[in-house]
Amino acid sequence: MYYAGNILYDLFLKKEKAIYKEETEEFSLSAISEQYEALTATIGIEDVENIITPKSFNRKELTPIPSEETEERQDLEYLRERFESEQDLDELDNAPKKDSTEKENLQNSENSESSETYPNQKEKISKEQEIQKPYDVIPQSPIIIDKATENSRIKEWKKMLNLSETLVQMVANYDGHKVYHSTM
Amino acid sequence: MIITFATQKGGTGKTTLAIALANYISTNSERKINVFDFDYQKSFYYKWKEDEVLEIPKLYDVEIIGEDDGQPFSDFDTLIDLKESEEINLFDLAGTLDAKYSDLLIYSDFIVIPFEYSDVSVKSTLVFINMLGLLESEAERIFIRSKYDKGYKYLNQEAMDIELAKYGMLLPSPVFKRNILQTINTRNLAGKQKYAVENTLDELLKHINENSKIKIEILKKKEKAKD
Repeated sequence: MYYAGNILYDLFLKKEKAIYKEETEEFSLSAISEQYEALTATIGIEDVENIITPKSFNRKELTPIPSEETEERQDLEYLRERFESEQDLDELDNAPKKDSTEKENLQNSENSESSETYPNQKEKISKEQEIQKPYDVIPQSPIIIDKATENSRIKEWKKMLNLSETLVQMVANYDGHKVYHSTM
Repeated sequence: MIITFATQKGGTGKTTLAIALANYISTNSERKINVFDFDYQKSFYYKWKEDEVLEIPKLYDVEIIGEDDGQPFSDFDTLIDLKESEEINLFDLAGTLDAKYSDLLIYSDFIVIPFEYSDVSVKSTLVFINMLGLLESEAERIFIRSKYDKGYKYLNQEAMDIELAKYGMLLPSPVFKRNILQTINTRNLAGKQKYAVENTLDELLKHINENSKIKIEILKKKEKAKD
């Protein structure tokens, strides 16, 4: 009986284990690495460097961003103006202003919020403006200042020249030989 | 010391007289002279460069003040150094007044103003005087009758002389209209050329010596005395 049991065990149970082992071997890491070894070896640093990145990619990407920013700025500017005008109106009387559907929507959204949100919004706007300002001003400021001072200098100079000319008057004319005096 | 030749009108003989004075001081005085051409046309400088072909050694250096510099004396100390220098710094300006001349006109020690008795010249001379007044220029104004015609009666001369004398020194001797001055060079003052300007330049230097700490001694007087 024992041997018969062993034979049966060897025939059925042992085979299953063997099959199971083979299956596990197929999923081992070494097998995977060997499988993809040929593919990974072909990519070198030169290949990475020589990757062709389309230039049009940047152009297409960058142009929409400023337009979006300007749209945002316009919105912020518009919102700021609206906020200020509404604040003025609120101070005068509490009657809300209703014009277009767009304004109504905005008004509703603003009215729904408590008055405490206005300072926050204002802060946000001012922060946005502060961020915008350095970009707009800094790169141009040295040139603008130089030109402005130079222009004001020239303007002042021309003013003085004009004044100098107006302060000279002809006082006599001896047969075409004119005598001038300074009236300064 | 800064001596500036300036007017509000071109063609009055500014550059010619500036060359004559530079040559005269260089050949008759031990005091060093530096010339600065501040004219857009750079007449003085080009003349000086042209004269390099001459065998006569150069008397002084001529520097041009570039148009690209914008404000040439934005470095204010440079101007003051030139003013306080023992050397003579002679400036020749253009016939039109430019804003970049302002500092120089204010801080020059002497401004030499050649003029004629023509309507345009006398008028522009007074405009220039007004301009110096508005700029509050510290400079001593010296007027020189230039291209003066001996044989002509300038009917406005007497009245104009009285007017000009209110604003500065009008040198008694005019620089007569002489063709010989048209061939002036920057290396020497030929006999007849010297004769044409000598009296006027002597009066000019006398006035400068009377009104300045720095004296320009003329050696030729000693030579004459020796003779």
